[in-house]
Amino acid sequence: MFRDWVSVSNYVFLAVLCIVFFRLPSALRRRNEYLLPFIYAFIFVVIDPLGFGFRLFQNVNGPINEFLGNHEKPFYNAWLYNIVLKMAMPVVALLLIKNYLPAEQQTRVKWILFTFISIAVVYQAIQIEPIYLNQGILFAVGALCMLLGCFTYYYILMTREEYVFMNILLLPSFWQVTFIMFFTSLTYFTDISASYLTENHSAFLVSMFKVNRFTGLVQSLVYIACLAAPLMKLKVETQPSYA
Amino acid sequence: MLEEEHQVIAIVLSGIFFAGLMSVFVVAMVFFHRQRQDLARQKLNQVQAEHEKILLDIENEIQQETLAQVGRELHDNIGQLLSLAKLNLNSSKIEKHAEGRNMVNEVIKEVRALSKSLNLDWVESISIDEFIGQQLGKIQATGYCQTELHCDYSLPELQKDKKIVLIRVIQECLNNAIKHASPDHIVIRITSASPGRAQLMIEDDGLGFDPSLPSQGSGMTNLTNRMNTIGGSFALSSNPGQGTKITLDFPA
Repeated sequence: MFRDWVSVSNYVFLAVLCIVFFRLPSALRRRNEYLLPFIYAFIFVVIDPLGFGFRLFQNVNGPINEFLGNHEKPFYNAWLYNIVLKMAMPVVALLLIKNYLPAEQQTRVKWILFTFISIAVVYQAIQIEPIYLNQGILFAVGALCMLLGCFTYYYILMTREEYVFMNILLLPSFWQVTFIMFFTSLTYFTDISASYLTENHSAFLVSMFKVNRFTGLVQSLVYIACLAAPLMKLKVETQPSYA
Repeated sequence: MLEEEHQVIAIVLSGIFFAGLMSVFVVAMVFFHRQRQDLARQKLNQVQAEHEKILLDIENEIQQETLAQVGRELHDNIGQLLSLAKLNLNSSKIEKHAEGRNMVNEVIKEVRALSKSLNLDWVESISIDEFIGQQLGKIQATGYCQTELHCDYSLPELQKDKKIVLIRVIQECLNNAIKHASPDHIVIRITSASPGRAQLMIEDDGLGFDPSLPSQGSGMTNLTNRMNTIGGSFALSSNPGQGTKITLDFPA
């Protein structure tokens, strides 16, 4: 169940994240700048325990793999990672970034979102890569969309009047988007280079995986800190509202 | 063992590289943001200095006008009263002495009123509506033209700076109307165009002019700049022979 300390941290973060979020006043819980980071962080920490669960309960995982056409290796849980990390995660991340943007840029991100969803639907419909195997192309498209969203956010941060006199180091959205960008980039590089490095530089691949997991852990901490800021009376900058 | 060591070194190096990359990115963002903040601060200081300069110019203009008015008052009114008082007090007739003393009292009152107008404290004690009423009353009293004031909106108390700018702009508009338009009527209307904003319309039925023609003076630009400093706007519409309408829009 617990392969290493990172696996343990997932369960700890899952519990802490839920406690922090449900201790927030209900008015804050309903606001997008709290709800969307919670969903993003929740997906991130829940995916590994959930994946482990499907590996454990083969009587559930097996029929799902059968249904998806995987008759050879029905113990795979790649379908779950494809659905959650490669399809749901970019959607949630883009919605989160969109929430921090003014109307004009929101429309731009909506188009990115729409394009990604359309590509994902077509991709799954015509089965370019089977859903029960690693879907590298879809991951590349999702990562690219997320990076485009991040750059749109940085553009707004550096050009809009509302941010001029803010301390960006105390702005939760800045850290959230920065971690989305770095974690996505690192995960993407690790993913695309995995097959080559396995054969030629396995030590380097392992190190990239470890760094990736550590970055994910710091990302979870940052998201928990952002959510816990009102509870712990942490001094943070107020996000300009574009609702 | 050696392989494990290589593994650890690779992890440490990749970790340092990635942490360094992220730190450089965050530091660069903060650096550019600080630069932007400095530029914005400089711009803000410039605007503030400009605003203060305009305010100082306006205060100077008001002081100059007040001094000119005081000079006129001293020469035409107080000087005359003092001469009469001197004549009466020097007279051998007792009843003339009483008249002379009354005149001295009147001079004291006039001097008090004049001393009040020498500094700008009066701006704080008067509202814009009252000021407009006084100005229109003075114009009407000269018999130059008829005046009307319609207040559809009660202006809240404005800050002294805003009030000084507004008073000067109103004075300038009325002066222009009297100097150049020869109107029979001047009407001022105070309304509110939207919540938190007041509108002041100054209309005359005088000669009017073609605003599209280039003017030699910088009066209109000055008025527009002055209204801008208080977050307001200045709009003018006029036609030859059809009078002039000025609209001042400002936060109130």
